Amino acid sequence: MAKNVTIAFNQGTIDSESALVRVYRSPDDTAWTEIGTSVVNTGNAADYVDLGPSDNGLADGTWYYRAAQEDSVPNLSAFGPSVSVTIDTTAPGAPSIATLTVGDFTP
Amino acid sequence: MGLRNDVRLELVVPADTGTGTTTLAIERDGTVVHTIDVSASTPGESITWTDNNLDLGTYSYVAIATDGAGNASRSLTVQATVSAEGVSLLAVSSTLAVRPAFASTLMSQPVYRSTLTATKALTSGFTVTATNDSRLTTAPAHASRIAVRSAHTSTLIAAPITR
Repeated sequence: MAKNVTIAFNQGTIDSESALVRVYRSPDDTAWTEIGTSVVNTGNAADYVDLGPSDNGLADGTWYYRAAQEDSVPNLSAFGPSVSVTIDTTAPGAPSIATLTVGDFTP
Repeated sequence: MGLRNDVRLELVVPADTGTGTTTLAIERDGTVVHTIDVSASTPGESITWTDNNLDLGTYSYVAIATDGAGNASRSLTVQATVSAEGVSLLAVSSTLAVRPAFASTLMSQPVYRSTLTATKALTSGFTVTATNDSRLTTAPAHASRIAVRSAHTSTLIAAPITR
């Protein structure tokens, strides 16, 4: 089952003149795709929820995100550092009880 | 050697894609009784844990593996039976007759139902103070403990008391 990722921004880094924050996603921290924007209101950027490709959720694996803010001109800022999140919806293999021994094992 | 009332489980750490297996929990009769951190273990590695001092009875065990994202898998249920033990022999250890004021040792040797015999006897030291010493008709602490746990215990103290 794929999952969504909620991205919260460090509000202290949002410029009061910014109008929006552009959010980018990458599967490898190299090839980036803009996936959406978050509206900035008086210096606060709303959380952004990544619903995955076609809003079908993100597949298992590690995903990277980065963001840049933009003013009304528009001038785009430099990108902030990327962050990663690992999606894991697969249960581990079933553990096995290899042996079960009744005895005196008291130290 | 004490009572055979421990259950030792050998668990195998399962593989997990993604965040990796982080814990193995052990359920006894539906209740988690122990959790092992296996985040530093490798898949296929064996982990041993012993459930000590169980009462007589049959117990069901299940192992639960959980990965870093909280996904979990359960093992098949296995059962272990802790059966009664019996004291088949209580005897004065010395070949000499027990005499008043002489220190003696009462030796109990548990014999298990599974036909295994304890390799080390339990002993209890005491000094006979009179011709009729009640301690010779009452099992010592060790033996009493065994008797309490045993469903089929017979106790025999056979030693002449002479002056």
